[in-house]
Amino acid sequence: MTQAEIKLCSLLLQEHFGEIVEKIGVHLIRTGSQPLRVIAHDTGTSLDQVKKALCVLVQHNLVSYQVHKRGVVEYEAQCSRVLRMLRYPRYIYTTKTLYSDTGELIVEELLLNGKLTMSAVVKKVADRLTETMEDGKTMDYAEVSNTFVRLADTHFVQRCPSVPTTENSDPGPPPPAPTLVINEKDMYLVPKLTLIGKGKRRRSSDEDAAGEPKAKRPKYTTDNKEPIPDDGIYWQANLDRFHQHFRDQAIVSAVANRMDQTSSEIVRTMLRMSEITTSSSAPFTQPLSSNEIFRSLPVGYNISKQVLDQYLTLLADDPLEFVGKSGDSGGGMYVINLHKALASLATATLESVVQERFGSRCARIFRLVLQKKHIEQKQVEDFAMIPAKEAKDMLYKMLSENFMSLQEIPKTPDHAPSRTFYLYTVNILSAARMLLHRCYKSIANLIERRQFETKENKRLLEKSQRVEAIIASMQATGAEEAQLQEIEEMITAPERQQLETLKRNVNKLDASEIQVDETIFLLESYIECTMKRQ
Amino acid sequence: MAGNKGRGGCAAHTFNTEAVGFSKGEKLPYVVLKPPPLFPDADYKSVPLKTEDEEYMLALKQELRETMKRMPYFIETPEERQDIERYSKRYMKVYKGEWIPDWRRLPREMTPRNKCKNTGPKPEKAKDTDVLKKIEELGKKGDGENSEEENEKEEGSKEESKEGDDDDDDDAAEQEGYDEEEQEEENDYINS
Repeated sequence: MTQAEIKLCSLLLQEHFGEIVEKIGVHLIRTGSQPLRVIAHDTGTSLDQVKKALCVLVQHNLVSYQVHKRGVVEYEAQCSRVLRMLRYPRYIYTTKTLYSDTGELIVEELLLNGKLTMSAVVKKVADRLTETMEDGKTMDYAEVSNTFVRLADTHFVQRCPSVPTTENSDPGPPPPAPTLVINEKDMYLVPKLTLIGKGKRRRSSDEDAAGEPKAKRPKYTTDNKEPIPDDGIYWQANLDRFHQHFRDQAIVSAVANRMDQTSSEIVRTMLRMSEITTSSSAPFTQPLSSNEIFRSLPVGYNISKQVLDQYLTLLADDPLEFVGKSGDSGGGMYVINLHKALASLATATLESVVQERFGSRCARIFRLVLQKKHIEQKQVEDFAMIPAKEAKDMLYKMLSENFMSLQEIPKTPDHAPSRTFYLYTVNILSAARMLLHRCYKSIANLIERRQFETKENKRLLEKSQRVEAIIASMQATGAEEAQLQEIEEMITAPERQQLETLKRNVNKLDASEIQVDETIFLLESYIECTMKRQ
Repeated sequence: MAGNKGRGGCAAHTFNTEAVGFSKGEKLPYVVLKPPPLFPDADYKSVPLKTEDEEYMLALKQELRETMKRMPYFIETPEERQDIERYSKRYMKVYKGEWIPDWRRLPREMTPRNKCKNTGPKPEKAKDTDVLKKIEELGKKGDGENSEEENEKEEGSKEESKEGDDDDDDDAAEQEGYDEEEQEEENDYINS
């Protein structure tokens, strides 16, 4: 794990789970898999705190455990999974676009809690939806269940590996840790539950402030005494499926940018047809015949068969090679080259970064070197039609930033410099890795800056929160306009301006984080699929 | 072998300057002598953020951040006890729900063990009775041991208050009561 990744993981864990969990998590990421006592000793935290932190991390699928010989249980952190926490808003938003509010809340609850049973999810979501509805209306459990089943069918949520049911005749002491197993077939199998009920509105009296006896504190374990019907069957969000969806989205929008709306619709149809038949790491989709595609086009689109064939030929002939022709039966068999598509997207990202950082002439040189694969300095000047001095300068700038590399080809066995060719080349994989590392560093910087800004204005933020709380409570008890006005004036005009500036800055930083994460997704997908191929 | 040429007359580089693109006699770019600046100037202004479509996601992100802080999974670091508790703090306390993990899914070593620290001080107290000197000695020794125990118990009570379990709060309260009682008893013996 690189330093930048570890720093980012540390910031994310601290923001979401607090400092103790952060300390334990970062220690595990740094040192690899370790048993409980070693963790406690090395981090200097008490055993109880370590246990609590590990429970939280295991619940959220960030740490896994394994039993080694002699009964020692070792815990290992998944650094890449920690980095996924950046993407939670995008997962939730995607579900909203596909399954509307109910689906959005289901995925949100699953992500916030790590893993939950279906009954718990349905209850929580129904309660939340009921809160937002008008007085008197409630959300039925059945509707939430239906959405849950649909999410499971399209593989957006999956079952967690569960404790195997051992026979009671098993002699000897129980193992130090359960080995969780999951059957491939059962991963998306929804248990047969009849959840009957409606969402409950939270009584406003529960929200009264100080002096509440501890008994009224809401418990996250079930209040009811009856056994949960699907006890032990936990569900989690299937991040791979979301990634597949994002990848498809990226390909479709790339085609739309390059060609037109109709071709992007055709590509979208092809991808939708291959969702279930193709695994997420396959290099290309299953071949689809032109007839099939014609039948599966969305209802609104009435293009004739010939037009479809023309579009497919056009897509297949495109130098970007998103779509390839794999045969002639059935009117032409077409595949989508997923790996090539990801490579093109990563390359486009690199080009765009070079353009924005160094200027369009540099970008021209970059594209030239990409096209020619290996090219000498002199040839760069000629082909790019840029004066020698500037070309040299730009090449060196890109070389020093590691977007390009030099390849030496010696003419003589003694590698004498005067008799060696030096060729400029772009190694896309290493440039992508370099850029990814920079992205991690950027996000870490953004988060730090946001935390700094918030800390600077902490006093002011707290004051404004208090004033809001006072106003809210006064409005509830029915206060006059003049009194409310007076309370509002507790925050002076320059303070208000300061708050406005703070809000604007924090929004900007947050938006930047979201957008850098999009780049991270593209680069990571590209690197992952290239590594698999090798 | 190529380095020897440099000692004689004009400086020669280890690479062929012509091949890499410098014509003879031209000024070479500056040698880098220190690390790059912490906030380098950007040559070109960056592309503006796309804010129109992203409003919902932005709000979602900020909301999620706030929600995570209120979940039971967020373990707060114990603050040092402040001498004067702010009045406003009572109104801003967030009541967190409790969370008990499914112990069947976790290794057995993760289940919290019952703490038996309460049995510690009881037998100690029984000893401090008879002879005055012995009492004083034991009292002095007891002071040293008791302060250690008190430190342990305070740490224990701090951890427990962090976990936020109902039981542990009671335990801590019990133990704190114990400490005060003990201290008073010790003082009585020493003063008399």
